Amino acid sequence: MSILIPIGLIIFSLIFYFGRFDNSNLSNELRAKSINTVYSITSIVSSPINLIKNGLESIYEIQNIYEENQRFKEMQLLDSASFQEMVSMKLKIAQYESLLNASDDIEYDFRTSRIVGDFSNNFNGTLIVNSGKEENIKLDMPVSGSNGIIGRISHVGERLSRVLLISNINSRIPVIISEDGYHGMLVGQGRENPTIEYVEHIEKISIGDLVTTSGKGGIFPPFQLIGQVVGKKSNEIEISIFENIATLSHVKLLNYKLIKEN
Amino acid sequence: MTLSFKGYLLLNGFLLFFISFNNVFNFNLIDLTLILSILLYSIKWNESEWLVPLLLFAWGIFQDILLGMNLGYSGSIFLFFYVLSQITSINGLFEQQKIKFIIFIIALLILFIFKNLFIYFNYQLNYLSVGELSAFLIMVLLYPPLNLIIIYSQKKYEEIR
Repeated sequence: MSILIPIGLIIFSLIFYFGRFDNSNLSNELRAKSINTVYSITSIVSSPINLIKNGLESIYEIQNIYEENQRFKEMQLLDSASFQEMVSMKLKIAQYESLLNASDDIEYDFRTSRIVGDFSNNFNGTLIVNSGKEENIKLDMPVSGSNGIIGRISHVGERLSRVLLISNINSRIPVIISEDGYHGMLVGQGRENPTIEYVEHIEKISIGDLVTTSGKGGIFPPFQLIGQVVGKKSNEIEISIFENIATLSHVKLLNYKLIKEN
Repeated sequence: MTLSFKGYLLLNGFLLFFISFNNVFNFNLIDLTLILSILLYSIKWNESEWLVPLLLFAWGIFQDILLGMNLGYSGSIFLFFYVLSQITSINGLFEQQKIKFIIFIIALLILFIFKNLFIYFNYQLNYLSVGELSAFLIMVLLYPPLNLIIIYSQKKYEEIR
């Protein structure tokens, strides 16, 4: 008799899971409200282990400090050359826009937020960041690291928000591939590299082509770096994203909006 | 194992502590949900226990909120292995470790197939990969040592009582 209770609960859980009742507005509200409490409790409980883990990581970093220093010196040289190139490209683009009389309809600022929870190691990869409604964070705000886009805000709580990563199997982002501007849809694959589907002229795409956001759908601003092509199959392209999420400690939450015409 | 009030407190504390590990550890190939399920499967529960399944369901919801999974995912896995433990106990197979191990492997295989089929039919995504197979093998390898630890702990607990 007592085995019926857990079996009944399993059936109830499966109905709950497959019925996707938590995609409703009410469920999203409840989830957003409860994440603060749940995270606060678990972070208190896990704080001793977190301290030990951070201590061990610091020791490891100190051991590698000489190599890091050499690497930074080399990067400085590269960065100054890249910076010069970027400035001259920006000036050129401004000139071309002025000649073509193109309208500048995109503006965004950003807010930096600290990652407080990293749950990126499964098919439902997400992060938790330390910003919420109190800091004017809104649903679907794009999120990027220092090297490129990593996802968007999927739930907003009072003080914490959840980021749906590019690798999440629920993630779909319209993208452009290569300078020739081939459009496609970036689909998260969980553990593996994301892939791009629905690409026309897939034969014209080469390994190493850059992948950026297309701006379609109005969620992500256009021309934001995501990654580059590393593999091709008959009907899909595999990409490697530039950002290494495992090493991120802070992210940028882009407050992207289109300028309304007067 | 019959739980007293102190036992329930310890169980809840342990579940909270283990679920909180998700905040700290983020391994690609080790699934903490499955490790907790191994522990739940290895414990010999009292056959008339009715509160433990409810607690596992609640803690499953708690973990789902923390990880951002669809509600019901973690709870169904915890309860699945709890039910398996009860079934092996009812059929007198609990002490036969080899048969228990085989049942565990079959259950894990069913879980992985089910999960991949669900992802395939709902997302049109072939989620099966080297990473997934590696995670499966690691769980199989982790079962014997974790099972031994639980058996030893339970025997000590029974002796003390």
